[in-house]
Amino acid sequence: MFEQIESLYGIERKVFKEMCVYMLGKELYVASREACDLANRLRYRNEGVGIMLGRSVMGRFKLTTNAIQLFGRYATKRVVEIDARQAIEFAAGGIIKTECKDEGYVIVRCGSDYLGCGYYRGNGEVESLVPKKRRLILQKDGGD
Amino acid sequence: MFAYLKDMKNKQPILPAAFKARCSKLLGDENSAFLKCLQRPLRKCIRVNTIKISVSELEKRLPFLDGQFEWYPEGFFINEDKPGKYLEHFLGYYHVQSAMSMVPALILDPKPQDIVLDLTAAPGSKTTQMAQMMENKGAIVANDVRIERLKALKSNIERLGVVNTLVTRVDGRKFRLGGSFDKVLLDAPCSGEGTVRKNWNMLSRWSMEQIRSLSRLQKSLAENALLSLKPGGVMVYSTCTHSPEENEGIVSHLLERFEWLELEGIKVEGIKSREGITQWEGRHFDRRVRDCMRIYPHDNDTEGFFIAKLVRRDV
Ligand SMILES: C[S@@+](CC[C@H](N)C(=O)[O-])C[C@H]1O[C@@H](n2cnc3c(N)ncnc32)[C@H](O)[C@@H]1O
Repeated sequence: MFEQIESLYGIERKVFKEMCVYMLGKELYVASREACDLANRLRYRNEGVGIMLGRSVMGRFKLTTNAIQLFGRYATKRVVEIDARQAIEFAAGGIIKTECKDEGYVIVRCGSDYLGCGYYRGNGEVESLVPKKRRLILQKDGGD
Repeated sequence: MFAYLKDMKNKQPILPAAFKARCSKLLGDENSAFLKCLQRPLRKCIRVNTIKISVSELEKRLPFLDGQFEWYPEGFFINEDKPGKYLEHFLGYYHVQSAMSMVPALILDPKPQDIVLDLTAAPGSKTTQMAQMMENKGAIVANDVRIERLKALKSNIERLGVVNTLVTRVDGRKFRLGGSFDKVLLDAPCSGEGTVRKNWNMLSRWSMEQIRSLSRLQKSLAENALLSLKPGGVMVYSTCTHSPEENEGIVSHLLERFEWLELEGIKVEGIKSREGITQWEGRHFDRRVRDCMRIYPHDNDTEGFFIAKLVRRDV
C-alpha cells in the first residue's frame, strides 16, 4: 500500500517513519507506535487505534479526508488547487468546477489548507468525497 | 406545549430549592453573587488544535476571537454563537471547549512519551487536548461506556487528526490494567452543577439521591483509576460540579483508603480558585483536601469546576 501512496500521491514512506501503519481488513490505519504497542498488550477489544489512512477501491488507493488533512501537505502528485469560495462548497460536499490532469482520486487543497479527498472524472468537475457526517454544515453548532 | 416554546419562556435557569439552600451553606455571603452569575449565559471558548495549526496562524484567520486566555495561549474566548460553521472548524484547526474544562489536562501535564488513561473520555475534549500536549506521540487510552458518546469521541479524534489514541468501551469500574499508566485523568460523571450557565435545564433532574448515587460511582471509578497508575504516576480527578460529596468527599475517601497516596497543591496563575473545604454537613474530611482546587462560576466568569492532583508514592 505504501508503494501506491507514494506512486499515486508522492507521499513518501518516511513521512510515517515514527508511526505505526497497519491493515485492518481492507483498510489502512495510522497510529502512534506506543498506541499500537499498548493495543497489543491490552486485553480489551479496542474500538479503534489511531485514524484510517485509506483503502484500496478497485485497485486504486483512496486516502481519507482525515488523512489528507494531516498528511496532504507531503503530497507532490494528484493535488488540485481550488479557491476560497470553492473550498467551502467542497467542505459542504459539493461539486467543484475545475480542471485537473489526473482522473480518479485527488487531494483537494486551498493554499495551505488540505481539505480532503475528491474524485475527478475528466469532465471539468471534482466531486467532493467528504463523508456526509464529516461535512461542513453552515447552520450547525460545533458542540462542546 | 412544544418543548422549544417552553424553553423560550423559561428565561431563568432551573434551580431547585434544595440546591439553592445547599449553595447558601457552601458559599455564605457570596451566594447572591454566585446565583446572579448563573443567570448570565456562558462565554463560549475554543482551543487551537496545535496538531494542525499554530496559534499565531489561526489567530490571523478567525474573525470571532475575543481574548486569549492569560493562563493558556491555546485558549480563546469567542463572540460567535455557531463556531461549528466555519471552514477552519471543518479543517480541525480548533475545538469548541469551555474554559475551565481546559484546566484538568494542564494540571495533569502529559508529556510526549507518556502512556495515559482517560477513563471517562467521551466526547473527548480533554483527550484531544492531551493529544496535542503530547505532540500526537505516546499513547492515550480513551475509554467510555456510552456508545453514542463514543461516536462523538471518535469523530473528534478524526477531525482533530489525533493518532496517539486507543479507544475502548469498558465499564471504568472494571477496567483492569494495573500499574501501566504514567498519568490518569478521571473527569468523572457528575451532577453538573457547574454547567448551569451552559444549559439552564441542567439541574432539572437534580436530587440528593442522584448526588449520593454519583458519589458511589465516582468512588469506585477513582479507586480503580488509581490502581492503574504506575508507582510515581499522577492522577487528576475532576468534576464540573460543586457538591462536596462528589469532590472533597471522594478525595478524602481515597486519601484514607490508600496510604501511598499524596495530594499535591495546584495553582494556575491567572485563574481565581479556592481551597477544598474540610467539613460539610457535619462530616469532616481529611484535612489535606485543602490542596484541591475549587472554581466557582463567578470567580472567573466561566463555568464551575473542581480539580485534585493525586500522586502514587509507593515504589
Ligand atoms: C464529564 S463526562 C467526560 C467528558 C470528557 N472527559 C471530555 O472532556 O470531553 C463523563 C463521562 O463518563 C462516562 N461514564 C459514566 N459512567 C461510566 C463508567 N462506569 N465507565 C466509564 N465511563 C463512564 C459518561 O458516558 C460520560 O461520557
